[in-house]
Amino acid sequence: MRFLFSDPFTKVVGAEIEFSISNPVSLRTLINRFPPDLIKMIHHDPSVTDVELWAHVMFFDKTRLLRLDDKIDNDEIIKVLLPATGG
Amino acid sequence: MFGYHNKMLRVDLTGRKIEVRDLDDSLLKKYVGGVGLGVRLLYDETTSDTDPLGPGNILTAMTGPFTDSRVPSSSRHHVMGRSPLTGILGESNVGGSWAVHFKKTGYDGIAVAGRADGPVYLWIHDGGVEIRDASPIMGKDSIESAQWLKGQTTDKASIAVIGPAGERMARIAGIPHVGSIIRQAARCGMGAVMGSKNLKAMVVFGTQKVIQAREEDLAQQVKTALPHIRKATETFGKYGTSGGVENYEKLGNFPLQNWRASRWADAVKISGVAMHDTILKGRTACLQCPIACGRHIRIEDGPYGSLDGEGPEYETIGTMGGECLVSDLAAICKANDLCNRYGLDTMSTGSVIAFAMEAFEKGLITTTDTDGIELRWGSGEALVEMTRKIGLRQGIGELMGEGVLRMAKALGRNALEFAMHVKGLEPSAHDPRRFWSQALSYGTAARGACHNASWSHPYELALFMSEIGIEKPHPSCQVEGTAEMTAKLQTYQTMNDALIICRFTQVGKAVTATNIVDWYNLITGRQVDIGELMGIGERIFNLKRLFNTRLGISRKDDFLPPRFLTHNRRGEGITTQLPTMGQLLADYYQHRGWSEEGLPTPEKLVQLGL
Repeated sequence: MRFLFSDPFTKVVGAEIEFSISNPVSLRTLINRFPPDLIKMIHHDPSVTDVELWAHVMFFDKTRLLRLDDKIDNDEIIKVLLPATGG
Repeated sequence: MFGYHNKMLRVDLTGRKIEVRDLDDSLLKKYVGGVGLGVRLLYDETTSDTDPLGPGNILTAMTGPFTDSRVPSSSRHHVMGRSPLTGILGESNVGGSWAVHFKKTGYDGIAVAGRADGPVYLWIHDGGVEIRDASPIMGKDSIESAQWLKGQTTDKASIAVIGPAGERMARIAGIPHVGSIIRQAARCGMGAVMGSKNLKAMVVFGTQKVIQAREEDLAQQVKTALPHIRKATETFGKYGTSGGVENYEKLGNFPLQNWRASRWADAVKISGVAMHDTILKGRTACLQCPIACGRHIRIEDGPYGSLDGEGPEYETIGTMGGECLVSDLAAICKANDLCNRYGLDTMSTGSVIAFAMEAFEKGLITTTDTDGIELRWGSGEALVEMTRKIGLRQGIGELMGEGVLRMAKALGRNALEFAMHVKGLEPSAHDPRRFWSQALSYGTAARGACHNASWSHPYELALFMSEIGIEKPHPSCQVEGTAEMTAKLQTYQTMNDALIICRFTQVGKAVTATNIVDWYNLITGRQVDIGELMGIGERIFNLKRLFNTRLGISRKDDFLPPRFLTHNRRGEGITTQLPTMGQLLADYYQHRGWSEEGLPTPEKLVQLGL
């Protein structure tokens, strides 16, 4: 599966990160495998909740905002964006 | 009552009368402050015959019990009057420093009536209130005027001052508030109301401290909450309100080409990230705000000259950028700066320019009308020049300053088909086809197409609020449950506008409803729960509706413009759907306890103590 990053995350990890997974795993599990600089940037830690994470970053599949416990398959492409919080 | 000075000012400019009115406990318990006190006054002191630009209209500026307390992000006040743009209730909530400096003069609010026989400004300070001559600064922009006014009073003053647009009563004129930063009470033409009264400015500075019931306990609670607030809003503050532009564009929420286009790759060029990486000099904050979402930008040189000052926020980027397809950040920054100087609502200005661009494309206006300006989609030059014309009311800018609806009526033919407004107010930069609670709130908000009435789009995406029965983010684009959630959030946000605290404290649940209740009780010494505060919010919301129904507003006015109801967006990832407004409104009225025509019922009014 692949994460496609938008700015400003690209400055930390480049345009994408690819993981190979044999079975569906949670988004939280995959985020735990992110580089430390990115984890720090998105304020992720083992106890973070969805709403706390969404204040800093949002993960989308084709149409849906993903939750930390959502299962991700190996063929999925996840877009990573700054949160839509403004205005 | 604790948390208030328990008095307000009423100034009659016609008779040059200055009166101090007591605010009794029963009034403060029922209406709290801000929007509550403002709408009560407006309802009582105007009639259906009041001309918004006549001396009978009143302009109110009300603080709340949170103002000048330790509560974060509470340096705000609520400006109200009958709107010359929409003809109905006008309101605008504004940050900066004015609210705190005004409250420190010893008053909780001010209402200005009448019309001065020449240009004047009010100087409100510890020692009293003075009506002074403003002739030397007539025609000057807000920043030049503020500099002169500080010279006449004190350089510590905070100043609500109109620019040329307000003086000349452009119906989309706002009220710039100039202190160390600039924030505008932009919406609904409140700047034109000031202009109609020959009131150039309200200059405030005071040193009086309001007494709070349990100030030390409040300070301790806020101190405990601040690390979480800072963490939750860190990204929002770093990239500003427009940090989410790329996300909104992908979601189908970002307005494009007068709301008719679907996708736009250039959105990234005008996002908060682009601003951060290119022209951002620093962040700015309203007094006592830990979020600091404001942008201080610097452009050294370029086609629009150099610029060092306030940068545009999300709604400005959406209306001047997305709606006009202008991807030139420097042009948007310049137009934003002109709006601050002339005293124009950036949202209405961007919207009316987008409307004019479509009218130009359709041949309803030509270069003969625009003094040779090619009003093409994407033209930064046209954006800047039309903003200048609107602000100075030159050429076609005179008509554009009347807003989209009046301009469409003047152009005739099919112009109303693409005139984007609700009740005469141009929409915020959030697409009601993406978030149906936004559609419903555009329809039912007292001032027209306003996203702040419910601020519900984040609650269709990522937020929830268990304290008021919103247990999880609400699914988008579905009828079921949308009316209930929208009404609850409108009530909650109305309560926030009475207290007063900024919407952005809700980002990442930085501040919760539980915090709000605790802080209100510590300031006032009362012991209320969230149910009672929501009851106050509902009372105020209904009184706003009553103000409008007295003017003939009903279900027929709660619909959206045709494009939102008949023209969907297309494109990869876009999940917008045309809102089924008939069903949404029926559910909403039922939930509100209103009639099928959208009128509060007598039973509901009795229940609310109205």
